[in-house]
Amino acid sequence: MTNASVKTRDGRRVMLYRSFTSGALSSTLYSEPTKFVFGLTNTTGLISSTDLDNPVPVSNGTVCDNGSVNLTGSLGGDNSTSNTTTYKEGAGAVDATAQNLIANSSDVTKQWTNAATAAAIVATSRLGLWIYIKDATTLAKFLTSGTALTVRVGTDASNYYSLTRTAAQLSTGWNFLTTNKSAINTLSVVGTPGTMNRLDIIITTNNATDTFVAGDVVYDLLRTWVEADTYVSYDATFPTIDYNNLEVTRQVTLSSAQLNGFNVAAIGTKNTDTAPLLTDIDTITPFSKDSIDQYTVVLVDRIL
Amino acid sequence: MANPSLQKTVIDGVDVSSYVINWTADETLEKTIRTLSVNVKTSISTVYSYEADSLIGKTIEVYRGVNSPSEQIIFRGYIRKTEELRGVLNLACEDKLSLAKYVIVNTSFLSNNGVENGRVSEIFKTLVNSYTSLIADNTSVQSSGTSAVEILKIYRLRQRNLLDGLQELATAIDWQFYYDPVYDRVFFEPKGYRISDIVLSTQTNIPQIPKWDFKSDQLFNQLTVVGSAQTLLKQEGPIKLDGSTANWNTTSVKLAFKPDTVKVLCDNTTTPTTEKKGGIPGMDTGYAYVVDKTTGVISWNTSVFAPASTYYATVQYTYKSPIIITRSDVASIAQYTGGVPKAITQVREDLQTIEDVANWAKYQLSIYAKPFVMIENCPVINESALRIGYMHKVDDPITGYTYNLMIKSLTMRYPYKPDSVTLTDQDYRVVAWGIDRAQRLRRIEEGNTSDTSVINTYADFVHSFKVGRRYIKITKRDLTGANVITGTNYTLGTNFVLGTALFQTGFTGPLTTEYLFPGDNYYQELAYDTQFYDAGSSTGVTWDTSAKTIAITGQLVSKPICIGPTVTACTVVLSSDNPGLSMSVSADDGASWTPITSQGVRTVINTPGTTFKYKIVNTISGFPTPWGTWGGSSTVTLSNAYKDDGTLDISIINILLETV
Repeated sequence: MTNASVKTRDGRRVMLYRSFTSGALSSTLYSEPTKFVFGLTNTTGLISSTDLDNPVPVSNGTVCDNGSVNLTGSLGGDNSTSNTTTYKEGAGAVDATAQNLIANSSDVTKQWTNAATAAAIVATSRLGLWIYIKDATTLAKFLTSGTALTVRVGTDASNYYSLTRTAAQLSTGWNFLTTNKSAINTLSVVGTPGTMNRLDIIITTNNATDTFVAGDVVYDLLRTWVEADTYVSYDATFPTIDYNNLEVTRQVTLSSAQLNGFNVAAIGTKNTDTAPLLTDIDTITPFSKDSIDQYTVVLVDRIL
Repeated sequence: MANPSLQKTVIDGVDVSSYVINWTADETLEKTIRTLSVNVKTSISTVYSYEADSLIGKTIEVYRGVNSPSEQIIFRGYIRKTEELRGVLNLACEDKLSLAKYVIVNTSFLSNNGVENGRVSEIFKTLVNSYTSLIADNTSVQSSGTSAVEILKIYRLRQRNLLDGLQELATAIDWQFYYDPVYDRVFFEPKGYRISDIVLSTQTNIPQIPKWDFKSDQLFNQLTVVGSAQTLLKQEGPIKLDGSTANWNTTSVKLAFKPDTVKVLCDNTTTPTTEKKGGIPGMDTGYAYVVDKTTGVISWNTSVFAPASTYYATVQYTYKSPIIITRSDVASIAQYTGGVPKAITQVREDLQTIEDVANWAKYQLSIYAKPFVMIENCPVINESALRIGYMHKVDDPITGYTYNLMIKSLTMRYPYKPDSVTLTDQDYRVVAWGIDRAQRLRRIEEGNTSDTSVINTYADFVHSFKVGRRYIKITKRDLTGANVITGTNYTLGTNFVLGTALFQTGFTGPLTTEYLFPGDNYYQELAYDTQFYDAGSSTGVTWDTSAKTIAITGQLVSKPICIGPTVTACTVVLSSDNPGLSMSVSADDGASWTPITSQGVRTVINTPGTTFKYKIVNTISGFPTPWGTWGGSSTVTLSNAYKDDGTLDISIINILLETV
């Protein structure tokens, strides 16, 4: 990814429409951009970009499981233990606790379950949770080829949606497993999930004797959100326009409660069209947002 | 005189002579625009920065001389095309007359309205001076005449290319036009008008016997000219219809010529006075005769009128008789065609008098009764002022030929080789004389007069402007030192806005700029604000945001213009070249500096880093000295450069960053 600031083709269309259309302007077509979006790692912004690759929720959304509840182990998995040192902030969760996924040597398949999440997991929402892998040695225990990690959300053991990852799709440190821009109900499904309050995390190792101790693999913060949760409006009084120097400034302030836990590598602006258009995209050197800081993003554009 | 082997080439005001590998300048009478092909080394970029097609449209001047490279200018024009291959940059150039190629004209000239008064030479001058930056004045344009046959009553250019219009005027009166770089003027004159005092001779400046070409393929020495047909009146009769006169009888009458109009008198008297009515079968009734104009036979319609053999008839009629004149050039017949005339016929129905026809034949023979002379690609040495369209005496004592010939094409080269000229007498001998020229002008008038259509003119203007990101900046303020109460129920402390997670205005926890990046990796400083001006670190600087100028007596240091990405290289351009300033850049927030030695040239940062800034030092003033004291106080003021229409051309400081 290269650092870049691009006004997208849709952004240029908005400028043309709003500069040269006579009569009343539509409020749902080529409307002016009024909100920011933020994302994780992103390909270099292009004029043809229509969305961020990995937009993340700015608002809390719904915390289905804040990671403070011990998970029940089965097969090669033992009951999880709480970890108050390595945990993830975000979504307004203040428990400051995650779960160590402890694995024994009885089976290559290690499973942990929360059968009663604090909030229902809504199938039409987007989904995300965090998995921490301590180091390369730990990652090497994950099945080398094929599905190494499965996350199931559902009604019970026979009715669920599942999200899978191979070892190659994981890295040491925190991994954000997400449906990204899709809803949960677009995942592969078994049975007919109804109201969903069950979470299963299944790790397949190369050998049954590949075990995890506290701190090796950590789970935290199962959350859901909708598209609107990925938007944050410009700060009040913005944009400001300098008609003398032909400059416009747009700004958003991310409070200490917003966007926490994410390594932000892409910033975009969107409008309020029926299908919101991405009008700007900036791919940046990543910054990490947490609850002790407040970030202000300023975009200054000008006409020369 | 020696060969003009020295040369000087200037591009956009910059002397690039030492980078020129070779050039070739070509011009011909037919092409009108002189062309120049120059090969230069790509290392020209050390004195003249260029990218891709940025040279197109730039001016170029070429000089050559014997003792000094700038004795004689031989080319003044524009670069039209560039091509770069293996360290060589080829420039394809056209002289200043090429400006006329890119102008579309929509105008009219009426002989009774305007200063031109229909005079072709004046129309030419007005077109050149009004629609281009070229000059055509009384020193470069001859008068084409003001008589009725020499003027254009109406001349229109309807959305036409200017060069086409100029060529049309030149063709109409068989004149030539070209751009002369010495006088920086457009010349318009009869072919062969200019006579050079340079004699081209095999004894002096023609190093080898030229190939004399005598072209007789168009030669003729007997000419019959058929002029316009005249209408004549004739009467035949009275003649008795008894057949005593051949073809005059009671059936029909045959005339001596083919008639146009006919009047027939016929009755039983020796001097008939009774006019008879003619008619056309199938269309008329009661007619006494029918006329066959192709055979000249009048046939009696005997069902209506059957004259007896005692009747007399008188026919009065008109008929067409063309002017036909034949002239011969006896000397040419004897010398060139072995005593047998080489004859042709020309039809000139526009010539309406015997005198006109006779003169035309005479003048045509004066042109075509002798062969045309041509010398192609003749090398000429020791001359630097040859120009096409000029007449020279060409003297070849070796072959015994001496002719006055006009340079029709000219090629000059560097490194020096003999100039190559093609000389001929055909182009100025074959000049339309007054009558033909007048006819051409009349034809132009007819075309313009009949053209009364309304032209819908679209004026297309392209407004292009750049909308871009000036910069993106991300700042972070953290809670260190904030008044916060935390616990199971998270309660915001006094440093937060009640009911929100936002810090209160005025909270002075540490504020850092986490990320700052100029749009498109391109920093442009226009000085209308002080966003990136570090006043605290600068000395002897006046940053005027109203005038948008930066006056430097001492040292200007910027705030960081890029934070976050690792900068590894940059390219710097200032709005003007200022030898009194030195510039350096830093990517580690000023811990180390890399000097910028040349504008427009990529500079690798000695120590790549994530906080990039620049500084500019006035070296005239002598600041800084090792002792921190100043030298002189000469101030260098930097300002934006604007185009004629007021839009920005180059901002004060331009830095293109390379990041990883």
